[in-house]
Amino acid sequence: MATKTPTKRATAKKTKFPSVAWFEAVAAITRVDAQYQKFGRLNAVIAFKSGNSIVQANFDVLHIHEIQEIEEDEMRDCDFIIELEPAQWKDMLKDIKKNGTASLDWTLNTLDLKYDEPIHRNDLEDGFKADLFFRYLPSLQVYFDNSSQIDTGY
Amino acid sequence: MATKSKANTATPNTFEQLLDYGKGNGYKLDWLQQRETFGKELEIPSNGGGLLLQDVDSGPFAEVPAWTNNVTGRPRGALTRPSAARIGKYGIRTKADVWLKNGAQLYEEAVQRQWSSATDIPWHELEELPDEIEQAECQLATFLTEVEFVAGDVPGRWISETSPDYYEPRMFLISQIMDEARHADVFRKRALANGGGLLQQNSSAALAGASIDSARDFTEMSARLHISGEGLVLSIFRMGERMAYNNAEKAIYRLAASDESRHVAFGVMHLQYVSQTDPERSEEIHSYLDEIELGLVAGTGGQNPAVRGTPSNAAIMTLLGGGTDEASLREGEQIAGAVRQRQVKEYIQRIKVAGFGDRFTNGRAAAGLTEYISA
Repeated sequence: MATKTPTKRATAKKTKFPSVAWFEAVAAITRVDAQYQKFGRLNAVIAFKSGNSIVQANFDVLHIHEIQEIEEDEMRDCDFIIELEPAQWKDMLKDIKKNGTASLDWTLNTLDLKYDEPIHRNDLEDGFKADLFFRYLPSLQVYFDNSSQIDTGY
Repeated sequence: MATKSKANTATPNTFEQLLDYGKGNGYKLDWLQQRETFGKELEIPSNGGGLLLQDVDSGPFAEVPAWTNNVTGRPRGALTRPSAARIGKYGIRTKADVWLKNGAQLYEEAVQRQWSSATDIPWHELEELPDEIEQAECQLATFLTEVEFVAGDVPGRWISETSPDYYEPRMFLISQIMDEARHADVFRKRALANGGGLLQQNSSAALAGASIDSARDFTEMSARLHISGEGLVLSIFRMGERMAYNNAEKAIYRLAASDESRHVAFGVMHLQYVSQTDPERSEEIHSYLDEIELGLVAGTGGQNPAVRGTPSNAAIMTLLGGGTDEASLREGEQIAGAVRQRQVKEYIQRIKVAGFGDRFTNGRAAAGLTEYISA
């Protein structure tokens, strides 16, 4: 009888969310994602905020680079910010992990409309830059859906 | 594109020799001229985004005249042919009337972000829905098919009015028509693909369309269409994504919203250009915004998705609430009201960016908007 070996899942190293490493890992998958490439060029510096942690990424044409932690006052230089409470991020990412993609109630747009305040904003109330959230939503959804391919720790 | 090798073989000397040869042998070579850019190698960006219009336009080709007498269809920067016929009755021959600072970028983005209603929507994930939900989906899809028809029609008129010297906004409008055609097609498909059908025409859409189409000026049209009309439709698409019952509907609304927000961006950036370069038009623009806000507040042209009494809004509330019973409709109405608040706030932010935000602090903005500003 074959000996039972530990599953890959049990031994896989989890990548902590939020962290630069987590956003880098998802970016590495997304850069070569055919759907992401099909949705076309982007041009936005986006901050992702969870509690006190803020990670910025530059979505530049089809590249995703300059992923780094930033301070609160640096968010004003970003085109827009996506902010969720840590528990909300966790619930969204768990839903994506479970289903492979965000299910009907957990897409970025639905979350943006679901809560009292939108999850996206521009810190200088620049409506044009805030609107980039809508323009690039299909691509950003692909980005977060790709998190289903990594093991996320919290 | 001129390359180094061509530059090496076409030195002024050989060029002159070629002209002499032509003249000597009976060829009329006066059209053969060297431009300032001939022989200059172009740097192709290596960022994966390809070669863009803003990368190639340089020298005389990038010079956008403040006013143009180009009515012959001559591409901007091309040399004039004296015998060219005046084929274009272009009403727009002043840069500030149509320009925006990032028109080429928006056009390139539009071209790269095209999608297909046939293959990019997971139609196989449509599933049987309760009758009232399917009927609501079909009613909303009928409304949106009608709206998108108008949204494609309106810019068409202005394309032929615009001199080729202002080709960037012209080409963006062409891309917008492609977007609107795709939207009209995808909502028609949604109405018909799941055993439903097109339902009742919506009179408010026609009203709004007539109002936009009667705009006397490009900026007036853009404010009405891109900022007000498309801003509304963007809100509906976002609601559509939220109230989707399957991944096919999610994809339809998400992709359409992405297109729509690009159209809104065009309107905002054009209005910003006007405010920055043509301040004498400020009062005129404010008067357009006065009219737009009257419609926005009253919702008579379909601008308010939370107002009762239209088939499309009833459909939205049914879908948001999950049914046609009283409790569901009330819940749907509440959600639509919350989205309506976002819609107005976003309108205000866009007008501020465009340079006309003073109307929200000096008492000029429609009174009905105040409650949204303070909310």
